[in-house]
Amino acid sequence: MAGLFGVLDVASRGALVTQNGIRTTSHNIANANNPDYSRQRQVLAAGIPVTQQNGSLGGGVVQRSIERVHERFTQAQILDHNNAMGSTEAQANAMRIVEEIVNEQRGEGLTVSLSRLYDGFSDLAAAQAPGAAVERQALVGAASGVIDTLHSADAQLRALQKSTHESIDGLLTEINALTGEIAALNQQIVKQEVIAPANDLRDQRDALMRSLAEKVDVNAFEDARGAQIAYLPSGQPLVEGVSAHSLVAIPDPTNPFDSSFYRIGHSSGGSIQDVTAGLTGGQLGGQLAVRDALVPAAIRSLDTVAYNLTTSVNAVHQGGVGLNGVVGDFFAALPAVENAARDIALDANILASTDAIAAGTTTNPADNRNAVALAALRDQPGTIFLPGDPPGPATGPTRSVISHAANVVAGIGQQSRVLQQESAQQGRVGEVLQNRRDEVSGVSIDEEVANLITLQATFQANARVMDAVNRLLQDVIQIV
Amino acid sequence: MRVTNLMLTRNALADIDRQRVRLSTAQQQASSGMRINRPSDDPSGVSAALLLRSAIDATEQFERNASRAESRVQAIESALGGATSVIVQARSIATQASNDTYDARSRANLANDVEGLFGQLLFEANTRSSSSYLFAGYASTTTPFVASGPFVDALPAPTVSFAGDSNEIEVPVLDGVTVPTTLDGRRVFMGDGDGNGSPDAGREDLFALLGDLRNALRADDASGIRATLSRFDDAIDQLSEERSRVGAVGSRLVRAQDQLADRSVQLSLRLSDTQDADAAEVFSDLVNQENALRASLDAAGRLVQPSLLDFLS
Repeated sequence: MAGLFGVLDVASRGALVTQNGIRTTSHNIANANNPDYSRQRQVLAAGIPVTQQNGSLGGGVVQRSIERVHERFTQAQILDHNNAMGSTEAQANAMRIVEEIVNEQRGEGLTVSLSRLYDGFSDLAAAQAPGAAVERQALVGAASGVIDTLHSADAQLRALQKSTHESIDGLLTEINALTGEIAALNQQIVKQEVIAPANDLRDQRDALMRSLAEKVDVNAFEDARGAQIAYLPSGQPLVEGVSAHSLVAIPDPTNPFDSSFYRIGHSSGGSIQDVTAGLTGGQLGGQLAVRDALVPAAIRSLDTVAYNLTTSVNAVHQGGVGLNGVVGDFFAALPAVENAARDIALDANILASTDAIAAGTTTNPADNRNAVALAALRDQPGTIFLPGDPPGPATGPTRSVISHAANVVAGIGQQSRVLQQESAQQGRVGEVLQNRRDEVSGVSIDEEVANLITLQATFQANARVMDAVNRLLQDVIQIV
Repeated sequence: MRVTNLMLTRNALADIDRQRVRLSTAQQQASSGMRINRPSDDPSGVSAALLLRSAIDATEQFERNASRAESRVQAIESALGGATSVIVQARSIATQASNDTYDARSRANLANDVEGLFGQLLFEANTRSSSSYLFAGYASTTTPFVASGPFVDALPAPTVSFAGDSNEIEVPVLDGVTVPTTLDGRRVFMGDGDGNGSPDAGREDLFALLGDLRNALRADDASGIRATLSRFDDAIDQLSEERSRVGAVGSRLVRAQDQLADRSVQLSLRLSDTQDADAAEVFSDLVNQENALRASLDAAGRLVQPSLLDFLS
């Protein structure tokens, strides 16, 4: 009789384990469309046999555990990729806006307005009426056109910089929330894994890590207890076991663009460490690059156009004299290349009276010698002043202001092009990685259904064994 | 390799997205007619296009300058023509009056005619165009030639002084090329090109010449009248020299305008080559991309493919 109960025991355990298998399959099917889910698998083993002299009797089946099918290597690659992608995409998006600000393909922009200014000088040189009152007025209009174009491009770039800063603000909040959640999950996982693998919690934590990596540069590993450790490339931990460290703002009142722009600090145990320089990856690194490098470079390149225009025109303008005897500048003199695009303006004398425009080298009304010289500036190459050059000599390339402006536009286009190509290429890598993850961890309905059929048959077979034992037992009881 | 259901959907969507991007690029090129719609489409092409547009603008500016210069040159030509006919008439009066059959009375009559011619010459020398004097140099608002007073029978003819300056207004019509659009009035009408106050060798002060003829006529001085004849020849040479100078400026302007028109066409062609889309290419590309998108969509439609479930009862 004891033997029969043993068989019943094996069969009922078999049915139970099979039931768990069906449960696992149904869990997989239910999560087939959950992109963060890793399929789970029952790990089985044969039960402990009853060893006798004439052979060991099998002990049925036992469920070792339920594990998730997962490739740690792919997850690590996805984290790296999200890091790079977050940064490149943020920069590419910003450069697309920057290039649209200087885009002249569908409308008039900087070089056209510069060309109009030189036309204005030429018109003044070819004026028929003595004193050329009309041409002087038109010239002031053309110069205002250049000034307005530069001011507006500069203002748009600064607005982009400001809104980038605001998104950095938002990113900090999101990052701190994510690290907090990951730390909380660490705690649950460590606690649960004393008993059994915390498959679903790990899936959740992996998903959070992927989105953290998209936002900020992180390196990650898992400690012996199963807690995720995430730290910045410069070494400061963001998630350390069950505790999270936050990123905080460090005021930067000397920022050359906006005193409200702050630097990023890592807060740990009451002390704050500046980590801005080390943040290059993730959306945070990307937005910092946009705020502190890409947009400033674009602003400075417009500044060089404004500064070199001002100095080249003024140098010739000072060589002449206005109808009213005034000798002076055409554009208000600028102290430095920096912020020239923001500060460029007409000289006060010109604003007061167009007669101050030095068309000639004498006050004679038809003297056009200086206007001829001003008009010739259009194609006259000069050494371009770069930021930091004045009051020293210019150290830039030698070209005319118009061709410098065209170069600035081309340079911005080139930068945008490279970033767009990089981001498209990274997008393709991302797809490959995502496919690799799905290949390993994704749920295939066909596979699950096939498993289900097998499990169903197994369950039925186990039930049949129980039925057989039942009959045998009844037979035995009737004999008695 | 395992292929899971999510993978199929994700890949199909990514393909459709990519195809839509390509189609939108092709559509933009077709609708704008331009190959370059933003600097990143072709950074070096954009720089070339900007410089070409600026060069086209500069060419148009030169064309405007040239046509303005032309109108001034025409005004100068007609003033010089008028002055020449004055001098030719005065010379024929001198020839006529140098005949000994003329008496004092008829010479006095001719003197009146010469006084009229003097006035005409003064008018031509003070020609204006767009209210600026063409022979006054940079002092274009100053009347350049002023007579010292009216003719009075008993007195010698009035003298004429020059109040302008000797500059000629140069206007740019090509890169680095300027043409004079006014002439030095003192050289043209007073023969004084070097500005020393008296006519250069072989040159004549036309006003003084007319004055001398008129004085000789009034004084009934036949030898004095005859003495002006060779001076008139010099004067006519002087004016025709100035006229050919202006003619040369005129033909330089015509050449410059031809060159500018040529350049304008060439620059426009180059700009079009640089930034415009090849219509045939763009539209065939557009059709190709549309077909490709249709194919992607069709493939995605087949995603609801048979699964094992369809075969289980």
